[in-house]
Parts: sequence; C-alpha cells; structure tokens
Amino acid sequence: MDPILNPFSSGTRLRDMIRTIRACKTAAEERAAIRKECAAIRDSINENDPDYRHRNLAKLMFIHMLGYPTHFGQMECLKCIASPGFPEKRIGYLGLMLLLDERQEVLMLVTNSLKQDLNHTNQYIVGLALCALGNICSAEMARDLAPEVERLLQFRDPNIRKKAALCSIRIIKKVPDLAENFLKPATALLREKHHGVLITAVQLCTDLCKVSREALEHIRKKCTEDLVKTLKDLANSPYSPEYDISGIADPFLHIRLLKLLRVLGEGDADASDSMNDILAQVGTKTESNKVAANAILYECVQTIMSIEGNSGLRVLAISILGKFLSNRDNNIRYVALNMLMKAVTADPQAVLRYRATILECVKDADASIRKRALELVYVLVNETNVKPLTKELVSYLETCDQDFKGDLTAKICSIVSK
Amino acid sequence: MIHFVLLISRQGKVRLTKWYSPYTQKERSKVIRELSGVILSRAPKLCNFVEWRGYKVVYKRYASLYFCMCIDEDDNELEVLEIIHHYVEILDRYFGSVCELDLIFNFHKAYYILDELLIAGELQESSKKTVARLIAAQDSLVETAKEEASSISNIIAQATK
Repeated sequence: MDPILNPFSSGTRLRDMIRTIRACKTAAEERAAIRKECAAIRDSINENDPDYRHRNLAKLMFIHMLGYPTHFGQMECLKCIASPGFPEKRIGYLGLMLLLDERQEVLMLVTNSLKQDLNHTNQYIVGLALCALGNICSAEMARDLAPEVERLLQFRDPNIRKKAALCSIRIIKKVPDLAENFLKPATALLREKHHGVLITAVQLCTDLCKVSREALEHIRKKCTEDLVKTLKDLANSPYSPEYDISGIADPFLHIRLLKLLRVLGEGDADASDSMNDILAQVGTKTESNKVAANAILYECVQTIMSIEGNSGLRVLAISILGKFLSNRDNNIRYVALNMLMKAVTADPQAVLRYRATILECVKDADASIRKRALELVYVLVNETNVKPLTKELVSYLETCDQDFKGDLTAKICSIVSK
Repeated sequence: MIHFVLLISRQGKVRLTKWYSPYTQKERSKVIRELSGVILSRAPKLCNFVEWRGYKVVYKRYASLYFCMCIDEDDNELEVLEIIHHYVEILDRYFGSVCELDLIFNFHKAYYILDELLIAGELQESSKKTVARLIAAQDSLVETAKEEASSISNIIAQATK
C-alpha cells in the first residue's frame, strides 16, 4: 500500500499518525487504529532500518501517552542512544526517560552508552546524558557513573556544570555514601556568577546538608558568610531583564538561598546571627502583591522561624503572616495557614492573636483552606480556650458541607479527648 | 523536589507526563486517573494547591490545559506556581503564542524544553533567554543533521541514476 496514503506504515510522518488517531470518533476506533500502528512499527523495528528509528520512537511515545503499552519499543531507545548522531540520541534519551523507569533491568544496558556520552566532545550530547542520568538512574548506575558526573562539575561550559549539579543531587540521594565526594566541587560552585550554576549549586549543597552531617558542618563553617553576601548582592542588584520577574531579580535564586540559609542556621546561633540583617532586609523591602514576591516572603518567614531566636525578626515574621492571612488571594491565605502551623511551636501566643481570622478560614469556600484551618485550630486548643473554640466548631457543623462534616466531627472529638 | 509534572486537558487527556520519582507504569496510570479526577473537579475560584497522598499538588489552568506539579509537603507552593508560569512563558516564546494543538503535535519539543528547565525534580535555569538559546542550538544541530542526510542521499541518487 502506498505509504503516503496508508497512515499506518512507518513511512508516514508522526504528524499524520497523530492526525489519524485524533480523527477517531470512538474509543474502539482509536484502539483499532493504535493496534494497526503498533503492528506497522513492530514490522519496521524488525527490519532494523536505522532511517525510521527516530520516527518510530516518536510515534511510540505518543502512543504511550495515550495510555497504551509500548514495551516492545524499549530496545529502540537503546539503539537510538547508541547511534552516533545527535537527533537520534536526543529522541533516544527522551524515549528512555518516558518509556522506562529505574526499576527495569533494561536500564542497566544504557550504562555504557551513558559513560561514553558523558565523555563526548559535543557538549549537547554530554547534556543529554546528564539529563537522563539525573532523571532516571538507579543506585547501581549512580555508583558506576558518579566519578564522571563529579568531573563534569568543573566542565568549561556553565550549562554542563548546572546539569551536573542537579545530576549529583540524584546520585547522593540514591547513594548517600558518595556525598563526601561531591562536597568540595559543590562548594566551589557557590562562588560562581552564572545564575543557573548558582541555583543548582545551592540546591546541591542544601541536599548535601540533608544527607550528610559532615557536609552540613563543613558548609556551615565555610560558606555561610559568602552565601549571605550572595543574597545581599542579589537583593541589591539593579534591574536585569533576563532575570527579572515581577520587579524582583531572580526570585528563584532568592528562594533557594533562603532555604539553604535556613538549613545552615537551624540549631546554630553563630550562623543564625550572621543572617539576621539580610533576613530583615528581605522581609521588609520585598513589596508587591505578586506571586514571586510572596513566594520570597514565605521562604523568608520560614527561615526566620527555623533559625535561632531573634525576637525582632520573629515579630517581623508574624506581621508578614498577619498580612498574608487577610489577603484576598486564596493561595496566600492557604500559605499563611501553613506558616502559622509552623509558628505555633515557636510562639503559640502570637498565633492565638489571629484566632478569629483562623476560625473564619474554617468556614472558607475552599476545601484546602478549610482543612488547613481546622488542623491549626486543633493545635491551638488549650485548657483556657477549648470551650469557646469547640462551641464555634459545633455551630459550624450544622451549616457546613456534607463532605466536610466527617472531618469536622472527627476533629471535634479529638479535641474533646485531648 | 518535584516528583512529577502532568499536563492534562479539560477532558482529562494527557498531553505530557514527566516522572522524577520511581513510579511503575501501572502506578503512573493510577496516579494520572486519580489526580485528573481531583483537579478537573475543582471549582475555578479555589486555591491552586491540593493535598494528595501526603504530597502537595500545585496546578494552574492555562486556556484548555491544566499544568500540575507534585511536590513535597515542605516545599514552597508559591514558588512552584512561578515555575509553572516560567515553563508556560518559555513554551509561549518558542511556539509563538502556544496553544494545546502545538503541544499535541510537538509533544517531543515540549519535553525537550522541560528538560532544560528541570532535572531530578529541581529547577535548572532561571533565565528564559538561556533556555531558549539552548533549545535553538540543539534544534539547529538537528536541522544540520537532516540537511546532511538529505544531501548525502541526493548524491547517492545522482550517482546511481
């Protein structure tokens, strides 16, 4: 049959196959179309013609997204990855990430190709390999290829360094023992100016701290001061169109730095001391009601609440919370309730000041907000306020939604038994 | 970290899925069915966050598509909203006013772009310009390879006439 007229030969373009499948009017029609197409792809695979490999894999991925099984295509991914050309490798690695998961043994067969590609002269191919490894590697592969990734943390191109940093995160999560190998190169990256490298390096350091006590102590001792300076420079940096979002320079970098500072300041008075100024600056100078600004304030408050005490900062944090709670935007109110949950352990009295607003939130139209507010009320209950609080909740029970009644009743019972 | 990214249409059709944590194919289908049900039934004025199985799912609707990202309990939901927007803006610049059809017929390109934005469930690049430049460079590598391949086959065709 003429390949141009037959939509189910692998001679057809991806686009035409997609069009044909979309034109199916019933589920049965679609199933039949997919079956025909899979048969054609199978035949093409058996012919082992390298020219159609790329197209077959793309088609398989589309079929996979529709929910149909595509195991027979897994080896095609491997063949594409092993091909010398960039286009084949690109689609091969994509197919690998989509059609396979780390538990499949077939994945191990890619280790050799990955090793070669991590050493390729074409940096875009190195990038493909780092991406695939970072998204899908198993513990065994992580162990095998860790030395390559470590080396790439010092590669000449920043786009490779940033990919290597994120790939390293996956490696240390899979094999925490390897964390110490990455410590030195990771902290070296913190001195860079390239934003992509910085955000990924800061994230890597944060994860290193979580995985290794030694890493945490090392980074706290050697890097806190520099990180505070980096955040300061960022907060004071002039307008840059490339990184500006809603009037703020690179909110993503802001947030990641705040998160790392939180990890470093927690439980350490000296480290916490050194970050007080910048936290105050970010907490007071970040204005605007845009998501980006509020995301930064959210992170800032979380950091203030987690590090060692500074009552001035705590007051600032609670006042930011207060503003959030009365914000018209549901998202901001939801996030405020989250923060209050965390603030409760540090300062229950301060949170109780917002009791009325919190009770209002229990009656909010939004189920996510209601749930959060209810949990918060539960945590706030004590001997003095249990009567009025429970009274409020019971009266709401009479008017609230059917599906919420269950949650509410359960919570009231647990409060009473507390 | 971001555990997975899901793009679904209002009718529940999957336009893109990316998994950064181990989920078997079976588990993935289950997750998609479950989450689609939860998110598609959310009323429009509600907040963009849903608690689900001990995780949080941040979602935002752009025209006919829901962009969803599943994160840990202690992650910053507001930031993830910005990450979603970051991705959408990059797609928009790449396709020139992106629409759902673009993502259907060029799903592989949507994935390539996502792969320049996230790795291991973490943000890779905050500059849209840099992402666009990297994608353009790789697209041109593909174009060059295509041209070479077709010029070689032309030579062969001429030679074997």
